[in-house]
Amino acid sequence: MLQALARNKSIGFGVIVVIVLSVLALVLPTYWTQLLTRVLIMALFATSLNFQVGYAGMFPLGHSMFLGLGVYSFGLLFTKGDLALTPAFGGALLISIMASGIIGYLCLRGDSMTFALLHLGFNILLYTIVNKWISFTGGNAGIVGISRPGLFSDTQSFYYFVLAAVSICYILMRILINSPFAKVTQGLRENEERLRFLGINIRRFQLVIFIISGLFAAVAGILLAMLDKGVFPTDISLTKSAEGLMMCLIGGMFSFLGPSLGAAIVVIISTVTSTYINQWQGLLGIIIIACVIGFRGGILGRRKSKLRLSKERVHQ
Amino acid sequence: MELIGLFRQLLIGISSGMVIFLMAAGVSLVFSGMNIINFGQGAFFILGAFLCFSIVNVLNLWWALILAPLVVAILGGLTEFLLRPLYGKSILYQLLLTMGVAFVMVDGMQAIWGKSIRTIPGPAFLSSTLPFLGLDFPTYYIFILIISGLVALGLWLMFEKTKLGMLFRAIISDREMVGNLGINVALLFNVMFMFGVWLSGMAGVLMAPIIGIDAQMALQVLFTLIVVLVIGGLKSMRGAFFAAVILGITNALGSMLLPWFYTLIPATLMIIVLLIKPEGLFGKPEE
Repeated sequence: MLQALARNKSIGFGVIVVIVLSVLALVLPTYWTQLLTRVLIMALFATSLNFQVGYAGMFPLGHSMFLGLGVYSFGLLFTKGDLALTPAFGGALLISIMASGIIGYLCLRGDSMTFALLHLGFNILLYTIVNKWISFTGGNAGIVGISRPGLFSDTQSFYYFVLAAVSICYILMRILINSPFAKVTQGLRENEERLRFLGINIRRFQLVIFIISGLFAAVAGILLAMLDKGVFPTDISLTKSAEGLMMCLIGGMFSFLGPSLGAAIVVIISTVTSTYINQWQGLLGIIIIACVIGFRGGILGRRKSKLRLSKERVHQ
Repeated sequence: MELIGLFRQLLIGISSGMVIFLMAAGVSLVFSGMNIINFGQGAFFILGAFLCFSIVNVLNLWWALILAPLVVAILGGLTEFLLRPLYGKSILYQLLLTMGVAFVMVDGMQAIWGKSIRTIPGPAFLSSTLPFLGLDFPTYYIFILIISGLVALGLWLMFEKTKLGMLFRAIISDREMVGNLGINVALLFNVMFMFGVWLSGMAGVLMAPIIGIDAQMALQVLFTLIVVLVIGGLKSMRGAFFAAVILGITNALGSMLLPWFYTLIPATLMIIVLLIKPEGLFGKPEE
């Protein structure tokens, strides 16, 4: 009963957020609409990352490789493969699913520390390939010339396109999180050993989470490629991975919308500061150090997790 | 002719493998003792190389070999202070912190030494080749081999024969017990971290005259370290040694025999090991 009410409340909240975001685009100047589009895309990326970090308790240190896989497979299918937007979109999703399946299988061969190491390792590997294989990926300069869907080519209408796409993804993710499947993954975070005693195949669960999370990150990547009208190696860099983790950390890992809030903060900081200094990586490093030492709970973190605990107690 | 080239590449492979081993030994030591992977190790390596560049301009390589790793180690000690509030917390925070430190260092180094690639002229007495058994070997690689061999030997002796080594071994096998014996674990952690980073600085100085020094290279170095750790097994020093030497040799031979595939060799090796023996060649299987 309480849970159903809570869910209804969250549906209402979601509707209000979407309405507010739709109205915002009508009143904001173009520059801010574009920024808000980026916030929405990065929020999707951060939420997909939080599937692993917050819900399954894994340490995916190189999640930008899936954002980058989306960006690059879409961009390359579109420009080099000469596909139309829709088949390129589908093809990019397919490639991302296969790649995250393979990478996930390899990363999950060892313990959690090996997972973290390998995740980072594959991120560096893909980044290096993208940077070195200049004839195919354009190297450091990237590839330009990706177009947006015909109806949504200007800034404002593209914003609505992204808002719709991200909302659909959020609804899907929300449904997934409320499913019994996700309860198991939360168990993974809390006590892996006990789940193993229950005879649950942990690896398989982690792999499914891994693929789902990679898939949503790839969707974010495809939207990002459309927004920037091109593909760039920064989309697959370690800095982006760390940005994603900071979004989860700042916003709060144990709440569904926390990472999105974090995404807004991180994207705005990076955009605003980039007009003054050209040292985003170092600044991000300082933010990471400061947050990890002084601000581990996140904005929505503590409150929400307590709420959930008390709710479950009422349920029992 | 082919054979001579093969021997030369073998020498280059073994000596660069030894340098990689120094770095990997640092990571492995810190991981076994403190359960932290130091993602800054690649950045500390580059810092060692850059410091070597600056010191060679004023003094010479010998001074660089002493001073540069020392400065790097002190910075490592400061990094350990940042880690202190995080012991006992989720590993994620500790990993993120070392990553943040690496980011700050890479940007800092670019601010200090610029974004262009720096090179150091090798010392004159080491730039020739050494005839041996009718073959010519590049002297600098022999120099690297000797120095890194000495450091590795020193590392082993320190571990087996000195009190500090004994404490290191003790803290690896039972941290709590060491604390109960009234030994200052916090200080020991600091020394351990500094030592691990010192090894990386040493490696950086040794490689400085034969690479183009570029702050962005920290990533590639880190990747090589990850490959070595995964192949050798995370906590095994012996594994790190064999993995580093194997990697060095396959890299050197690969650059001669399979130039087009050269950059993917480490990753391929790692994936093969993962598929066959996920805990690493010398790692203990999970309980």
